[in-house]
Amino acid sequence: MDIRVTDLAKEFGGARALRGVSLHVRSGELMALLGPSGSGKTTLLRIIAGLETAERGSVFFGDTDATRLSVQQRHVGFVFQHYALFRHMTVADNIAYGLRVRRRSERPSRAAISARVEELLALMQLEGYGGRHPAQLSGGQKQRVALARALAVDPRVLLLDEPFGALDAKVRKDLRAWLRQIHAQTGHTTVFVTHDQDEALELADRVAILNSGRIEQVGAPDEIHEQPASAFVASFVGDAARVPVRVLGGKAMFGETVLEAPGQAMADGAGWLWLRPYDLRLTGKGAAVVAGEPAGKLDGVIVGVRRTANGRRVEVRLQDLDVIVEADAPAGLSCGHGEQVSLAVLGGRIFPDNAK
Amino acid sequence: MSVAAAAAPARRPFFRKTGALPGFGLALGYALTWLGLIVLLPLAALFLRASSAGLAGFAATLSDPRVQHALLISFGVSAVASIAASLAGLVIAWALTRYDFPGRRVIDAMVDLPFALPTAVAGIALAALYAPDGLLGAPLARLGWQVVYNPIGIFIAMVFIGLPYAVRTVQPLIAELDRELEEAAATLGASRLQTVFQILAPPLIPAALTGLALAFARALGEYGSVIFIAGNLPGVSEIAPLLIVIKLSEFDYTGATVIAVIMLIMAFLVLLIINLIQAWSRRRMGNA
Repeated sequence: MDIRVTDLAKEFGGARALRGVSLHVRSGELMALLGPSGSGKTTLLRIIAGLETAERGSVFFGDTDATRLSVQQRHVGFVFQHYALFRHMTVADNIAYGLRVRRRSERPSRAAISARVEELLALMQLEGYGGRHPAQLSGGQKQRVALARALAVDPRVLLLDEPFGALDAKVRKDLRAWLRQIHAQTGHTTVFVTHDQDEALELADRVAILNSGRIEQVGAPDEIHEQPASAFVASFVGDAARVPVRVLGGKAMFGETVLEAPGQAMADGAGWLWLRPYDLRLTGKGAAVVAGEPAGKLDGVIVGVRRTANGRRVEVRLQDLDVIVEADAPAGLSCGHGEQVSLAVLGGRIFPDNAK
Repeated sequence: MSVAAAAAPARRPFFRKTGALPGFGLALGYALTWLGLIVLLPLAALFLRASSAGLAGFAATLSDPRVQHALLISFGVSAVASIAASLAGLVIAWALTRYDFPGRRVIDAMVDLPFALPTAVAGIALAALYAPDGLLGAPLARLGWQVVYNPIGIFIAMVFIGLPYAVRTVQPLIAELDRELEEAAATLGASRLQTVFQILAPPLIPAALTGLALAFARALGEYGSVIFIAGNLPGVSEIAPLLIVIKLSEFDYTGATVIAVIMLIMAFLVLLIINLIQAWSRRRMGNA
């Protein structure tokens, strides 16, 4: 079932949490809401769930207008960051809770409930844990119980609020892969909130980037990373450095150097060029221009070299500027501290000066 | 060699923990000394005095209808009053913790008043309020309800003094209850009533039982605030502590101590039962 929210606005004691957010989550899709804290991503999720009410705007599940429905009537599965398991109940009772509270006419038989619990325990790789209490489980296990509990009622949509936020890095990574797998098996339309860009980019079909109560961009992870729609997205997702440029006749000027590569249409004036490490190619100072490569080069001095798992990341201070950009050094190139180098600009995105 | 080395630490005295912080021996000795002087010694004296009555004396005292009735009133009304105070305390603690309203802090502070008030003052105040010509007593009397000089009056006084215990024991736990639990229950389709009874109430039970036990113990031993409103009619509204005082004033020290010992044993049994229920419910909470 798809989720469609239109023009949602919400205020908390004078602070605007959402300023007219519209979003369409396609049926069966796994979508991430990504943004810094205070961007409104959790508020958006809670309004979809019915845990908060918006001052304006509407929420649709398929063709059903859910805006005025209570939490109970919305029939969503919700997973909390801190699990929110019922500590006085066993794991099995936790999972069965959503089925047991139903009216007698809608409640499955006792046998059907325990069969459903067993099925979910198996799906969560928690066979044999049904009789334990939440206090006897690890964080990762608790979160899987919470997910099983949410799935037990066969919700219209599945909503997860920073589901891995309270877990350590290793468990996080395991659960990520595993959530992906569960999603593929159950096919629920799923929205999860995260402030971890790796999590969002790795896990989601599409990512919505939020910033101070507005959606900046919605797109596939590749799109978000490679074609950021705004300066905020460019800076928030991935490593990027910005270089002040002047745009003149569709060309970006950096000082006297013309940088042709970022071929975006832009009005003349001051702007910022956002460069990711792979937008730059490091060469020795004064090296010959490689055929087919733009002539525009930035000169600078190496101020730092970091060994990473996959190569060397070099920090270069650009000439005459207090800007440090990062680039990957090709194998074989000597890059000692303080050496003069040139950077060929292969890509990048330009945003006008007022955008940030 | 390694066997000897492994066996050596086992020879340490079993209660002696070699913790990083010193002071265990001193603290334990100090605690035991005070416990002995202040609690155990007087109790031992009490038992010693009562034992001079012999089994026959105990039987005679217990078979006195006046004593029987006083014990029944003391334990029966204390039980009902402490249960009532616990239920009321839960609601009050909930309101004070979960909601913000003007005057919340003032009301929160006022909960402790029965702690601080001299019991005689409380007794006089309650008696004046509920007496047939009192502010509340007069309208109640017109309806045909007399609430003083009978067990109802005792009940009112006992609820009054037991309430702070009931409120203060559950209040921190209510503050700890995560709002997300309620939200989780709601997303799973639970109604408000189901959430309150199935999700919110169970974790509070151990603390509520503690409050109940404290309120019961206080109600049982309460003297000052009860005797003004009770009327103290033998066989109707006479409480056991008052009977002890009466026996003492008649120089019947042995009789007084016999009633005291019976009260002590019964109170101990009641508190033990409450503690057992508490331990059981804590185990059921799964967090020991």
